[in-house]
Order: sequence, then C-alpha cells, then structure tokens
Amino acid sequence: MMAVIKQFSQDNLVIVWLGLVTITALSWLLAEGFARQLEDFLPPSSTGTLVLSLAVAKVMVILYYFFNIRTFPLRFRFLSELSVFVIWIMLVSLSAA
Amino acid sequence: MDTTSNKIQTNSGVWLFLQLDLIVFGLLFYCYLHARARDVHVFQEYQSSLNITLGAINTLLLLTSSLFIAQATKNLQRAEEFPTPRERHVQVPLLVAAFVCGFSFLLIKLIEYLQKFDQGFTLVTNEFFMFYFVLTGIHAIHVIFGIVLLWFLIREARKPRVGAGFKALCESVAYFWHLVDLLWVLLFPLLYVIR
Repeated sequence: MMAVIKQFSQDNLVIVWLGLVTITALSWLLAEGFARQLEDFLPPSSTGTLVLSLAVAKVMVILYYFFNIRTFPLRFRFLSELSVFVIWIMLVSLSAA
Repeated sequence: MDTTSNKIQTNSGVWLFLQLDLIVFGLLFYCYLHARARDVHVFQEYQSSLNITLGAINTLLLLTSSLFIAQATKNLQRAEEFPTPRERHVQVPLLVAAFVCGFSFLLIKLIEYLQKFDQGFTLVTNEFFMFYFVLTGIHAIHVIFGIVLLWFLIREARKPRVGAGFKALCESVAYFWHLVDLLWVLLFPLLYVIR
C-alpha cells in the first residue's frame, strides 16, 4: 500500500486528474444555474459552446496524459488532434443550430 | 524503431477497434444533435428531468478509475518484459480501485434507469429518451466489458507467473478503459448539461 501512495505522490497524473475534476465541477455549475447569470453578459448559445469546449478540452487532456499520445509519433498525434478538432467543430455548430 | 512506434504496432488491433468505436459514437452524437436541433424545446424539457448531480458523480468515478489505471500502466512500463510478482503486486490495488469505481458507475446508472422507469420514461416515450437510453446503454455495455477485462487482469496480476503478452494486455485494457472515460466525458455535457 505504501508503494502505491509513494507512486501517487511522485506523479503529475494526480495534478492532471485534479484539473479534470475542476473542469467537471465547472460544467456542473454551468448546468445548475450559473449559466443564467452568465447569460446577462453572453448570448444564450455561447453557454452551450462553452460547455462543449470544456468537454473537448477534457478529451485533449485524457488523450495527452492518460493515452499518453504526447510520446507518440508526430503523424499519429496530428491525426488524433485533427479528429478532436473536427468533433469540436461538429458539436459546437450543431448545438448552436 | 522507437518504443512508442512499437507500442502502436503491438496494439494495432486495439487501436483500430478504438478508432472504429469512436467513429460509431461520433455518428451517434451527430444524429443526437441533429434530432435535437429539429425539436429543441422537447429535448430541453425532458433533459431537465435528468439528475445532473448523479451524472457529475459518474464523471468523477470514471475519471478517478482512469487515473488508477494510468498509474498501474505507468508502473508496468518501468518493468521488464516479464514483470516480477512484486511489480505486479503494486498494480493489484490500483486495478481493484479502478474496478470498484467502474462498478459504482454501473450502480448509479442502474439507479438512474430505475428512477426514469418509475417516472414512466422508457425507450419509446419520445426521441430524447430514445437517444438517452441508446447512448447511455451502449456506453454501459462498454463499462461492463471493461469491468470484465479488469477482473481478468487482476486475476492474471495475482498469479505467480505471467505470460509474454501480459504487458501488452495491460496496455490494451488501459486504452479501452480510457476510451470508455473519454466517451462519457462527451456524453455528460451532451445529455445532461447543454440546455
């Protein structure tokens, strides 16, 4: 058990995980009414765009740190990033429609 | 050839499966958003009946399970082709923790489904619930499959000796589990958050 705790304390994956948890909490806050306050300053469709962009940011973090694509060949990395970009454009344009 | 290229080649079947799975889900997301754009008021009305807190808890459970599996894989990457029992024993608690998180996710999903059935919502109620049950149902099947793989991996890791493919198997299971996590990260805002 001590070996596991030691491994956690030495690793930056915990920081990455904390970042992902923070983004999830932000999405949850947006859904629970914080969005209505934001709409005083921003157009209503931009809240959806913001929520989806946060989700896509999480996907990028998962790809980089959990799938570890940052250590993969450049071609493979480019293809993954391009796919995420296409998904982001598709989601944002359709949700705003 | 460097180690990462080797890794992609060793797991090429898994990568192909993951990419195909991602394309299928991408198409389902497209269909969902297209249907939503046609009937946005109905979708918004029924979306508000979903429990966002349970959805957020499920997101945290999957993210945490991914962290445990990423740690377990990282630990194994430092090991030789045949990891020693000591190296594998460090892995076991991490894999068990990931297994528990995955199982808790399924329990919460079951509670959500039962709540919806109690409220009279089923697959045929309307287009929103059709998409809700199909998307979350297919994802839940992925989680069940992932849990079975994890259970198998835990059993293998506890054995006194492992075969040559243990390391590759571990990486493949980890990739599959991260995909399950990644899909939920997109499903959560689409179904629960966007209003």
